[in-house]
Amino acid sequence: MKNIKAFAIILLIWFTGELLSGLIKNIIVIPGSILGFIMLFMLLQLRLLKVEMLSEMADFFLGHMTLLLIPIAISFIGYFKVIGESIVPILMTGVLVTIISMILTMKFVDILVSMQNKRKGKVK
Amino acid sequence: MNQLLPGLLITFFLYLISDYIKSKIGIQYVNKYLIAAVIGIAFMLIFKIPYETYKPGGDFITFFLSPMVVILAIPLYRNFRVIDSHKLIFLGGCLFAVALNFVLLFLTLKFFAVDDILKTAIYTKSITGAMAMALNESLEGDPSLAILLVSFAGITGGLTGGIIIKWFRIKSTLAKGIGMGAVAHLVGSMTIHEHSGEEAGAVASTTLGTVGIMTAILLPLIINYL
Repeated sequence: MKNIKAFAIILLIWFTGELLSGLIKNIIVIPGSILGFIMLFMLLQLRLLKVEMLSEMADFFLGHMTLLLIPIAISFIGYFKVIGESIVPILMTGVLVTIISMILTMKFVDILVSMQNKRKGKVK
Repeated sequence: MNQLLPGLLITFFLYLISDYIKSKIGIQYVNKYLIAAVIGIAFMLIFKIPYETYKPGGDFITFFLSPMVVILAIPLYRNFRVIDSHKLIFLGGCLFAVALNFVLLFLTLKFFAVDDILKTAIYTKSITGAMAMALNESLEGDPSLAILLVSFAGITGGLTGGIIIKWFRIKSTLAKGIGMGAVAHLVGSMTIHEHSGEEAGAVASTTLGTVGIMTAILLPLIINYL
């Protein structure tokens, strides 16, 4: 019963997020699930919700996230027809730019972190 | 036969098979997701299974990605210290990723004649699906084209992330999480969770939200100049 209750809480928070998302959609587009993510985090931080209540259910889902992503990979078969002549710009931006962005972003943050660690080391 | 059955069956068995193969070979940068993607696409093509047969069951599973996003607040709560102790680097990293993405795309698109609808979709490729769809709708783009680009970025990031971390010797959890979350959104966050653990996953899912919100604020302001 505990896990069913936990999932029901997640659904309720998601629903509240969707309502809120609809209210603010003329100002800014934020999906209900992202607002739900922010709300759940705040509820936990403010201790209005105990993490122990959700842990077991959450760990089950967190342990099998890859399963939920498989349909996205398979959906590429359906896209083959749609892409057609736009294939080159789509590959250049979707694949190449993605890889370059990822390398540079990781390196950038990695350097910042090691700079901060060095400075902290000197202070000590 | 129930319409959902083929997609559900294929997905669950792909997951089981990829989990088994992964446990047998144990090469660090080949993730379960890559194995499932390759075997799944090959299986569909070899046995000539039309995508339409798979889609209903696949969509049913994809539905759970939304409550999954809410659930990701729990690893964030457990690992909040990582971000809290590096607030400036976290925000700086997210902003850097958003700006870099815009600049690189702008330069790349100089070489191609793409129409405005594809252009809008390309600029939203690195944010999570639901957000990209909504943003494209409000910018008079095509939400389904947006999802295509989002999937391309996500899959690319999810499949190459582990290799990039190894080849470019990325050490800090913060860098791994921000890189994967900022560029490959949900797919990146989930694969890095599997690859580098809960702490990196928590950073990535927070990045995904932050980068998404930054993009949703900035893109409508600058899209006409891009």
